[in-house]
Amino acid sequence: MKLKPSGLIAIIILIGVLAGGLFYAAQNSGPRLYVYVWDTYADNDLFKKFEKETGIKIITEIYSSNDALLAKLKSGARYDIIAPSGNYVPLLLEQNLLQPLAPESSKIGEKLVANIKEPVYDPTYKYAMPLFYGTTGLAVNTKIISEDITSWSQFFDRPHGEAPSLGVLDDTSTVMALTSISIGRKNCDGSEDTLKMLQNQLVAQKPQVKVYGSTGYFERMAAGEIGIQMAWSGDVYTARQENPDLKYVYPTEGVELWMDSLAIPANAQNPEAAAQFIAFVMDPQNLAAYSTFSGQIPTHEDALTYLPEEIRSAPEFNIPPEAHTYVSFACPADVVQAYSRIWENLLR
Amino acid sequence: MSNNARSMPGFGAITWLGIAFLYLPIIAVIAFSFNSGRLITVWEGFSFDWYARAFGNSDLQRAAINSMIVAVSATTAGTIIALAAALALHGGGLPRPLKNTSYALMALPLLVPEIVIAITTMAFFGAINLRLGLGNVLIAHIVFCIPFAYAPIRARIATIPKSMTEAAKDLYADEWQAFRHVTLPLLAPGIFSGALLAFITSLDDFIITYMVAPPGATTLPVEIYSKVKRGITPEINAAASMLLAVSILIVLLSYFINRKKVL
Amino acid sequence: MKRPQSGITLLIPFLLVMTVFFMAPLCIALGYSFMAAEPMGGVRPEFSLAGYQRFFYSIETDGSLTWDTRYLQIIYSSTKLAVISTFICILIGFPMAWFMATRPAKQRDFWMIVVTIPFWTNLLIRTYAWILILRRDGVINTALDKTGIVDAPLELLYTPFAIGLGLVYSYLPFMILPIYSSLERMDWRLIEAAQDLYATRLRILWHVVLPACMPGLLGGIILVFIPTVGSFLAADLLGGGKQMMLGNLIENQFDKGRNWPFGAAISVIMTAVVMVGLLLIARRGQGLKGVVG
Repeated sequence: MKLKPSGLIAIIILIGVLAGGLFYAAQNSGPRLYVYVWDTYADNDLFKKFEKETGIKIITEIYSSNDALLAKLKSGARYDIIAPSGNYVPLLLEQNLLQPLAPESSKIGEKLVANIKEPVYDPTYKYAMPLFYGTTGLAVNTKIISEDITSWSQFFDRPHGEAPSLGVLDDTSTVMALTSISIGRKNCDGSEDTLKMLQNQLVAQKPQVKVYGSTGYFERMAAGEIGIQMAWSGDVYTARQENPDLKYVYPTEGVELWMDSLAIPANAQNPEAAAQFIAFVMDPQNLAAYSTFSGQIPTHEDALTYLPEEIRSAPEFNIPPEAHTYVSFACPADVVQAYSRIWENLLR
Repeated sequence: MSNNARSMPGFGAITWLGIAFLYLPIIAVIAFSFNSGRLITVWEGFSFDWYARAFGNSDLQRAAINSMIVAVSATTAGTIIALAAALALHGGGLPRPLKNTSYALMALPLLVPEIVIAITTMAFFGAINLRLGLGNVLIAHIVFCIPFAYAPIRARIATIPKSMTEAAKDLYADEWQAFRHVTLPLLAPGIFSGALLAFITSLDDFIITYMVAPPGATTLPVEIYSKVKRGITPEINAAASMLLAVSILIVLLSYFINRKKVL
Repeated sequence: MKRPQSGITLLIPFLLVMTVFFMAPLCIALGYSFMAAEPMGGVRPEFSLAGYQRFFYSIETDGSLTWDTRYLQIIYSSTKLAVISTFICILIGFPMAWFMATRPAKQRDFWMIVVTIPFWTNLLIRTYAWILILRRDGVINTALDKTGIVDAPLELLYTPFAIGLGLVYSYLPFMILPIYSSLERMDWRLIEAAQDLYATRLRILWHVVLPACMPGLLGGIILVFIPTVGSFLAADLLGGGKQMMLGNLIENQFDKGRNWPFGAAISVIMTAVVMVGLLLIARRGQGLKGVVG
């Protein structure tokens, strides 16, 4: 019986499906850990080291804003490890989205750096293990912007007629906090007056803004697309490695002090592996490597000693004593809503 | 003289420019995937390095395999269902309202905006708590593969004269034999075409997969998207070029298959 | 002659899949649009018109409703951009279809393939490629720089122009192919006849060609306008976050915006408008038939 073309094709498809099935089974067998972290925290080398040491395969997905993280969790997606920012942990706790960490975590907690120790929302590190911290300030591309930038007012008030070259993050709480700093008001001040001032400040700035976005923003910085960018310190460090024209600035009015922690979602599929992961990452040497990759400041005292000299002395890593730092924290629900409305008004 | 009105001034130029316009991005991606340097603007030499890196990237590997599995399975299921539907609808014995409803159902996935299909499917899967991992993606893909497979099959069925099956019946063939030895071979190019179209559509789908895929069930386009948002690297261009190559090959394949006429 | 019995059996898988996995989701979305939003995403099973109200009203701090045109403006600018893009597609697409249809028969297959290939390659890749072309150190600026035409890079990316370009680019083949198909079926002797009567090219186009290729033109407009108005990628990758189209607005509600009923409401309205538009066109002529089925 001659093998007809249709028969041949059927056989090819069958082989393909079988092969595919085998591949799929191979990929999805064995212990796995679903890690959902900031795009800048996807350190594949570190993750490979974890896989080698424990035999647990890591599957990474990334987000670039806390809002996206929250939305994904709420829609029922099941991850084992997440890295929420400090001001979002209370929200997650409120919504019962987190489960307790392993009891040993409190021991690690003792070794954390002083200025971020015992966060208000979780002083005993029951649910969140502080991972990195840093500041949110301004990154200036000295090739595009020749003036010396020292104040938020220079970010919000560009000269008329200058081509739009500003970059603003699209993390609502961060932007609102910094805008508040720039107009001299307290963050989470929900008064009618302050809200109006915040809105006006942002709307006035809009024509000069080139991009509103957090995803890939430091790539844009490195590529020279942006003149002045509202930025998280570690990202500026990373971008600066590719583009030496960049400079991190601590504006005189103040910067936001933020902290990201590792946490285990309540619906995690593999919490034991998650606990192992946290213990692994918080080992000072591993944390130092992780820190070098992400550009963020590690929270563990001992990790600092393992950092290479050029990072330890980098401006992004050393908060000048005269800089005003405002710890970021979660605003009450009605203020959050008001902020959302301002943000929507802005991005019409 | 008769050529006169056919040649509109400038239309030729517009066409060539249009073609250049259509291919410029494709060429750009492919060209930059071979640049040995990392920067876009500086051509540092021809290199396959990035392709090697793309192959070695475990995220991309996993996404590519998922893409293949979903595409093959969705195409197979979709084409079979579409074939059955085409035979049923062309068979002529069905009541008019049923036929019209079916035609409408067949056209809807092509007419409802894709973003709407994406979020409604996601919401639906959430509501019924469907937790099949990659299976969720597969089901969503089957839905839109059916209309794409259907169109060429339908077109092909219309070209098969009824006399064929009747001749087979005259020779004492029963339903199944008539189908297997007469209808099916004649339909084959249409089925193949439909399958290829469904395959490409599934392989290239973005927004529906993006909204519907559970953790770990990403496909290649979704993976490329999240990497692109973080910054375009030549590695991404390499992966993208490979995906482009697959699509182009399949289109050419489909075209050559289709040239076979019925008689 | 196939018995209706076996016909229906063959149709059942199709009907089953479409009803459960296509119609049901649409109905669920309809339902969600009438529910209340969970603050952090998802819906609460209680009736609420908040999803639809949000289109027109914003809820002030004291709970009162004030007329708010924000979203209507997004609808307006989305539609405007879609109309402009569709129009440009016609301006470029018609000459191309004409050119293809007037080539000798043997060449036409070649042109079909050439135009069809981009149509079937991945839209995401073709869209992000424009970032490579338009950005400050991208293809266009580098070329302009090397030839010395301009001395500062042009700001092409992250502008409405970039989005429009992306949209026209994505859906151009959808305009070319239906028009081409109509032109191919046109009776060219009509043109010769018109020429014999000393009609100018313009008049020939307007009075002879246009009516003849109307089905194709309508098909093209439908195939371009619908995806354009609900487009997500072009604005997302090329717009810099400054311009939201309807597609982005909807996606946002299920992502950072965390307002599912609102997202569902927008989807319902958008789908309804599209469906009504299509019905009107289908009533008016054979436009729809040439496209599907």
